[in-house]
Amino acid sequence: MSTDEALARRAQQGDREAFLALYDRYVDRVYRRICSRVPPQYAEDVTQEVFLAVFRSLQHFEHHARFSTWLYTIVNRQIADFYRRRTRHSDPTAISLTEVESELLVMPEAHERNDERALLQGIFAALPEHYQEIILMRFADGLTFNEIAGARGQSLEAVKSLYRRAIQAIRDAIGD
Amino acid sequence: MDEHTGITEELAAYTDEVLAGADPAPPPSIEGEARIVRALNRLIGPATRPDAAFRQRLRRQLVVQWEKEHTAEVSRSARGRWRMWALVAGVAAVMLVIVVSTSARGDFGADVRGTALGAGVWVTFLALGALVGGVLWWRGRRR
Repeated sequence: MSTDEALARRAQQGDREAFLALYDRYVDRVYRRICSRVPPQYAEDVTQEVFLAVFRSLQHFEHHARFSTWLYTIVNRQIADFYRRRTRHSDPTAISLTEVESELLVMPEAHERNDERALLQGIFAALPEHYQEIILMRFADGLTFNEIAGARGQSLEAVKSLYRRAIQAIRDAIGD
Repeated sequence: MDEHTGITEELAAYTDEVLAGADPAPPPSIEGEARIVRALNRLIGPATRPDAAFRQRLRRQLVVQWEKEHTAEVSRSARGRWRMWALVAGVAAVMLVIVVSTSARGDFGADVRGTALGAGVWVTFLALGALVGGVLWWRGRRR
């Protein structure tokens, strides 16, 4: 099986099938990553924006980074754009709020309906980035703890410990 | 050694089972964390996938975008090639007209012996050749 980077290089050289292979490989992971932060009714729209952005900027991908790292940067940018657009439409003065506050502002259901999903999304967005990333790698990307350790260049014990701290941070935030 | 090693290992093992699709009873020591794991599994676990129809629709859209982009690229390059050949043909036609008209007067070749008019013909040839060469060089650099 070709590596992501080999497929990306072929796609840059005009190989459509290589590009579609990357799409098939990543569409579920991208969608799940988006679901960690975006209300479900908008997840497909943001997924579409991500892949169109990937298509437009594929020539800018440079091979000293992993393809997945580059792709997830685009995912994060599109999620931020989604909230920027929503914040602009719901309350122009809210632009100075932090991203997390903005997310809670445009997702009042987190408070009003005590919706588990929205609450979890709000808390997740407020976690430190390394906590978010370890949870996304295990749940959204489906990597085993061993694979995560390899990807992050850490020991298995360190990865599991980081994971426990991330879960406990969510538990503390919920006040469980 | 991490004082939480036991909990860490139990939580990792429990997570592996939940993500594999099982519904195990969590050890009492991690009941609170287990609730978070199950909630995360519902939010972004393997069962969370885009609708199959959406996946296909987006795939088709990307194919259309790809074809549009690459067709435009091919037609841009074909247009460029056509312009180049038109230029070469135009220059060749001008040269041919000069050769034919000077030959008809019977003095083609007299130029090398130094008449002002004959030298002019060769200077024109050289200028046109330099023009074509310059254009080819410039286009090669742009690529």
